[in-house]
Amino acid sequence: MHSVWAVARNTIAQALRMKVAAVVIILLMVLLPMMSTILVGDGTLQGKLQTFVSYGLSLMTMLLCILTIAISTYTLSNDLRRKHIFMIVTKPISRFQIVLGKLCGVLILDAVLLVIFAVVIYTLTMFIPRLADAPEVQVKQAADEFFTARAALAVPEDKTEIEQQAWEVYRKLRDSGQLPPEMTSDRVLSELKGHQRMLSRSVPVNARKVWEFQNVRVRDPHEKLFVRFKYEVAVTPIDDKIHGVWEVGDTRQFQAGVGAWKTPIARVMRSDATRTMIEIEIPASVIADDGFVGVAFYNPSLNETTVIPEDVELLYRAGTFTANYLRVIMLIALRLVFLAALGVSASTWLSFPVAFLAAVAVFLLGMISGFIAESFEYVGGISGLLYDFTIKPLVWMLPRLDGDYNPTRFMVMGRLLSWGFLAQACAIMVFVKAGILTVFGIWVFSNREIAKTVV
Amino acid sequence: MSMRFRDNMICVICGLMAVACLVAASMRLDGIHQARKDMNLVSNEPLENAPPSLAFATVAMGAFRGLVVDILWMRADKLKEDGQFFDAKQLAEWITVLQPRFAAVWDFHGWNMAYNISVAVPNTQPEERWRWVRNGYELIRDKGLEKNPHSIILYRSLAWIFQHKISGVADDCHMYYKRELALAMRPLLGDKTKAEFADLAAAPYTIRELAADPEVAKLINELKQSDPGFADEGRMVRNYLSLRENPARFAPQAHEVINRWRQTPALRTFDVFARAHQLRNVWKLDTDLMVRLNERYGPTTPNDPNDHGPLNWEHPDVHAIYWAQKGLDMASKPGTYSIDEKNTDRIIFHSLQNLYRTGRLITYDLPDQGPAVFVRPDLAMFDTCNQEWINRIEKYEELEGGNPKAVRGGHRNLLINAILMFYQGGQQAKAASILAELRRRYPEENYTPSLVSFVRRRVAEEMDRVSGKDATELILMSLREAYFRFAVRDDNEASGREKWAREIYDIYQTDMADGARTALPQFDLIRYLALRDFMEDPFYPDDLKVRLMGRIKLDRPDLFEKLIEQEDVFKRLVEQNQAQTSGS
Repeated sequence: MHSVWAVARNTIAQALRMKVAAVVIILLMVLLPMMSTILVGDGTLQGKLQTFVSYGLSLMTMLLCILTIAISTYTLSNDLRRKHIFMIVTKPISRFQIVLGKLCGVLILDAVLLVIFAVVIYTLTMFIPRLADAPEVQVKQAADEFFTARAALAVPEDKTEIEQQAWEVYRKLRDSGQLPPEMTSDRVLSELKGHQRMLSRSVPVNARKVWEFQNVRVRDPHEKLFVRFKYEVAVTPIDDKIHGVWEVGDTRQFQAGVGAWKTPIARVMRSDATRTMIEIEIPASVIADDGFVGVAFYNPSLNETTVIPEDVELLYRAGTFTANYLRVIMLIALRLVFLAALGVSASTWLSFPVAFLAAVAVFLLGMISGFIAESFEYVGGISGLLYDFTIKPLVWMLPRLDGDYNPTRFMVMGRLLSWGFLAQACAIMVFVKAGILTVFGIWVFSNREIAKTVV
Repeated sequence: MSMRFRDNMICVICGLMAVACLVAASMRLDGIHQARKDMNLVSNEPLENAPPSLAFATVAMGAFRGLVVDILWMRADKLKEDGQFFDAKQLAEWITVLQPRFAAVWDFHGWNMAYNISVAVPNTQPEERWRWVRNGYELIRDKGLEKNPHSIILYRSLAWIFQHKISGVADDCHMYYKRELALAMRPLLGDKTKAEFADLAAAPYTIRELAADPEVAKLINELKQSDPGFADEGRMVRNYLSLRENPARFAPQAHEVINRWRQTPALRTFDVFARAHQLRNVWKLDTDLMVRLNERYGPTTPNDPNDHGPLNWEHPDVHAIYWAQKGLDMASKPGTYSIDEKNTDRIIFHSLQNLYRTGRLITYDLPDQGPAVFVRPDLAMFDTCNQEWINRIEKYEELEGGNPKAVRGGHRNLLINAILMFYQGGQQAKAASILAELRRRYPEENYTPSLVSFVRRRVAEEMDRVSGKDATELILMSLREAYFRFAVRDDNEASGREKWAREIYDIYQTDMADGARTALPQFDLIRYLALRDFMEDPFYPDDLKVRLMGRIKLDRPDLFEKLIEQEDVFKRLVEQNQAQTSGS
């Protein structure tokens, strides 16, 4: 342990001597406060806060990731190139301790910088409302929708049911000889599944659809729930507006008479634009005693078209802004851990420029890894088999840095980043992926020749 | 030594060759640039006289500018998909900074804010919606047109936002937009006479020019000393206008200065300058063009159809006309009539029609609330609208060689509708002259020369298609409108509407009613029912209803007595009806 710590200390000193570290620190120290004053968003207090946090966290994350990659790929490869490594390997320290020491050094530096700049961003965020001199309405809106951590519940689609229905339709088409000849069977099935998926979400005119949420628990019964959704339509109305009746509460009570209801059911009639996320505020008193909440949407005849409410979620306050922010910083730390492990591992067998480029490439691919994984879902037949056994494992190894793993979306939308999600991300990104990379790096470094013998 | 000499010689020769290649390449540059222009490969012209920050942003990134713009567009699109608009304005500004000469970028972002983002806000928050509509048109007006002064699509888009989004009725909050625009323009228009607009156009452009008048210079100095807000000449104009609206925001000395100089020519001059300054620099309106548009498109006076009064600059369609005309002046190419020009031209035409149909903005001040706004037809705009229509028919025939049948049909309907509107409004002479024009232009239709029989025939045709219930509804509508006009002191229109209701009643009773079974109730009773409808209509503010009753009681005591009588009649009828219903 003492050896590992010695190497780590040395690595930290080496990193601090690198100009890139100084550049990153100066950039962040200058840009973050500047952004807090320059960025105005949409002119409201909430918009300003969202814009600042979005760009602030993104900038900090990006720069720290680049710094991590630079330091982790540089430190060991530089020691190897300049033969400094000879001074280390001749001491009673094993190869794996060197690699671990390098990794620890990078991680400690990352942790210190991350904490410093996270505190800076947090402080600026808390000061913006005081400096902005916003009206009371905007302050309240920011408190309700930004300075909060809302859990989001969604009803997952029944993939098995959709697949079964798609297969049924496929069989009927096949038996009646109506399969399009120019399309492969995989393609047809894929289209049918998409169609069934859409049908399962559609609400025809004068029809109703219910989403059922379980285990909805709020901390304060006087809190508010939010139903969030977006309308898609079969035929866009001329005024681009959709009328809807939303009923939120224990919808199981519909069978009983109104007099027998134990909890109220909120009824909201409204008209909203299509393709825009909408949030409806509902009192938390609608939650049933067992935590059940049903959200029913009725498509009135005014619309004259089938409506497809998409991305229906139930949001409720489940934590504080500060605790959520802390977890977001931890999520950022996880990606730094991965990148550090990647960089150190790459530098055990690649020179610095190559290792740096490779690590940056992996990082950039990680930023779009969700998109890549989704794209390959549509590959079928022999290519699909080939993909499953070759490219897919590599794609899986990529860090997930987008979509649900993008830390800024939690802060911007006031969404709860739960401990469970964080633990899962930690397990996969750190223990599995970073672990594999570290073990690989240790194995390579342990077996590679450090010095050539010249006779 | 010789090895080193050889190496040095090689370096020198390579260096000279590199220089020679660079010189040769630079000599080709002009030809390459010209070829790019000839093949229309250049969409961004180099910025000239741009502020340093803008020049830096567009040049420093070099080849990466396109990449950065793509990333910003992708972020804007992704946020839009997620329904997040907090960054939309900022992104629009950055994208337009990086691509300032690409007019379509300004057009898209202005439209995106005014249309897409505004409707994403619930209609229970009209202030927020209005902010996004303003963001949209201000982006195009204040920044897009500055960078692209000859882009007709930007002028058209700007005009369209005023015509369709603000003046139109598709948006739930359209009345709020109209009100806000009217309230913002009102303090700048003075007494809205031709002389006032002439003064605005003649006003100096800078404070320095203004201070050439020694009396005005004295006033300016006193203002500067009265409140720190007037010390900075850059903010003086804005603060002066704010002082006129809300004196409490400034030191009492400032208000005293204004009081001392009240009714003096110097204050009048300064006041005109301040308003002209605001119109020119904030609203970006050219006061000379405003005067020209007033002269060309303004409402006509009854006695002289060639004498045009000022347009109602509180109305959004007037702004639509302004920007469309400005676009045609700045960006149209002589000898061609492109589709963009045609569309911009049409905006002027349709806005004039809108001004005729809904050009009258009646604002009614409510205590402790903002004023309520009502829109009504502006009959004074008819002559201008009619003339433009005739010009269009001729232009269509001449320029496009097309068959203007559809356009002529629309014009004929306009004239028919105008005859009825003027007749309802009590302007029989004008209605008669329009009828004469209708007969002259469309002789093939054989319209009757008598105004009264023309009107009665139109009403009879309308009645022919309706039942007694519908006839009652038509009469009620006319009477409700009469009450509204009476409440806002538009007595001529009120009287005209009341007579019109009476005429419909008489025509139905005489020509349509088939005995007692289908006869209408007494006219006095219908008049009472119309009053009840008006009083129960949530569209009209309570204060207006109280004023109406007050006016009826004071100015038409005979009507008031009749209404009281009919109230008793109505109560008896209701009781009888209830008794019959419960008895059966």
